[in-house]
Amino acid sequence: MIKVLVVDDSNTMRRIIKKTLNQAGVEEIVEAEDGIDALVKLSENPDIDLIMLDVNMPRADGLTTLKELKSMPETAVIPVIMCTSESDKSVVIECIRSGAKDYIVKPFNKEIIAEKIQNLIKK
Amino acid sequence: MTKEHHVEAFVQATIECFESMVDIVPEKKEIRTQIPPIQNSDVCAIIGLSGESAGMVTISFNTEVAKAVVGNFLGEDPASLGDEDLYDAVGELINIIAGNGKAYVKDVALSISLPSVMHGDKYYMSLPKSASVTSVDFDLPGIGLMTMMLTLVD
Repeated sequence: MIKVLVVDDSNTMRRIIKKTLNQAGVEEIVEAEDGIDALVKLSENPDIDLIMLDVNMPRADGLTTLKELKSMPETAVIPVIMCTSESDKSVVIECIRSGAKDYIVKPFNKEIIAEKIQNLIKK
Repeated sequence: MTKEHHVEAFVQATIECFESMVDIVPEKKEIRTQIPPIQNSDVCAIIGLSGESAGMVTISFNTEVAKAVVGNFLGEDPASLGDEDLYDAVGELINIIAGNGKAYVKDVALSISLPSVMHGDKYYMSLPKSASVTSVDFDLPGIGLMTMMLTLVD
């Protein structure tokens, strides 16, 4: 059973991503509102298998959080999928260089998310 | 970069957002360059633009249309949506549209503000004299009418 942490400051986006993950067969989902909250949730849930991380967030943004995650041995191995809007493409490149496994551009097709998740689960 | 390029960029962003995330293919209808001072839409999501171009982009619709759109967006029964769900989701829609629209306005550095959502019966819209307004109606098949408005200030 895979457990996913969804990090997004938008309640709406968390709902949509959660629903899409459910449809992809993921039942255990933990939510965080920003990067700082994500680190707290990770300490409470050390069995997280995958992180979906929004780029634009208040307090700690996606790139800062990603770098923090990759600097800690206990979280560095968890695959991270970045979620962003088209205009953040340069940031996405920086995220991939910083260790993100993949990225999803908003507006996204829900089937594409499901496919990306299932591919990562298979790996 | 002309005003027409900006309008095309935000029209494209609106259509793509609705096609991908709301499962609706909006049909572009009437385009106006003047708006009446009194707006009749019940729900209006606004985001500010700043940088090399300044202004704002809005989407507006009546409450029933907004509920149907958000129902599709969230994959939930529109009747089950609370006001907070509705306004948060409409704000996220304008956020996605503006984020992509600014990417399509090539060679112009743009920043977007946080989204705001207004709701209620009829309101007056007062804009700076130098503002140029383009209002684009979209038919959302089976749902109703939505208006995307781009305002640019010289």
